[in-house]
Amino acid sequence: MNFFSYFFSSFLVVSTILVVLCSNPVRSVLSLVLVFINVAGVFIIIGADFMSMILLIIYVGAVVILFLFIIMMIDLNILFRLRDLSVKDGMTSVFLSTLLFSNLFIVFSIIGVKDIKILDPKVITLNIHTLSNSLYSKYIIHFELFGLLLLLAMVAVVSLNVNNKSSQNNTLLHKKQSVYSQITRKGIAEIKKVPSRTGVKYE
Amino acid sequence: MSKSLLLIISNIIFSIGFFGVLINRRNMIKIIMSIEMMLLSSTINFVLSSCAMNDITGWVMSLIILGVAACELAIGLSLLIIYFKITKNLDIEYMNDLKG
Repeated sequence: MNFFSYFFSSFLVVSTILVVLCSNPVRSVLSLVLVFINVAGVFIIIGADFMSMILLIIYVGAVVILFLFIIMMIDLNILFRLRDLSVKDGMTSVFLSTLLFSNLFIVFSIIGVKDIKILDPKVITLNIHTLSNSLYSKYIIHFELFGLLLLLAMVAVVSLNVNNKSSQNNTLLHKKQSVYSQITRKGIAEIKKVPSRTGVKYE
Repeated sequence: MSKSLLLIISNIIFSIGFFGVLINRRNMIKIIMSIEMMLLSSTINFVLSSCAMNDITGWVMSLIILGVAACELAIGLSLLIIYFKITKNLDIEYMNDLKG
């Protein structure tokens, strides 16, 4: 058990660093899959088996695939031709994130991490039954608002990307086929009614 | 699993996600990935405290965090696609059209 906890934790940190530092976005998406798989393993070790399965199904099955679709829609050559960050900006980011890490570390050690004892997974009574009991009784308002939030996100995404009147003139955003202007175009091609056995004279 | 290892791990993931937000200023996709990892570290904290106290509230909250992360991802990626169609670029330092 102890071996697996250190195994998953070390792989978790390594794959998190890989997500941030890979220059190829496809590789960093694959590292994101590795992050989620390792977190699922950690959840199984501490006894949260349902959360681990949910994490695998939703994050790896939906979220990362959405990232892959978006990367497919974007020209990857543009992403590789991006300019480099300056040394000053890099040092500033390293300094700020180290500051955040040490700050959180000090807070965690002051408020007493020693009080938190990980229970034996055999003792824990958390499962999908108690989760659904509390989700549909005590936290019903949170659950309903959560559904409303999903509906709002769906409406927002559809209304951002749908064709409406004002965006039809903007040919950068939406390229639509106009059948009428194609057929009635003069100059290059034309539709004529050809009588039988006579043909059309080319001018 | 040792007592505070997972807290430290989630702390490290949060800091690395913050670092990714700061350092990937030329690539919007990786900023969204880093925000996703920061939300994941808060999920780890919730589930850890839920399993430490044998209380179900942490699981409910981590489910809600998961939904919020999905909503944020969908809206952010659709904005990214629209921005990319207009400017053929993903650098957020060039996003200063409204500066006047």
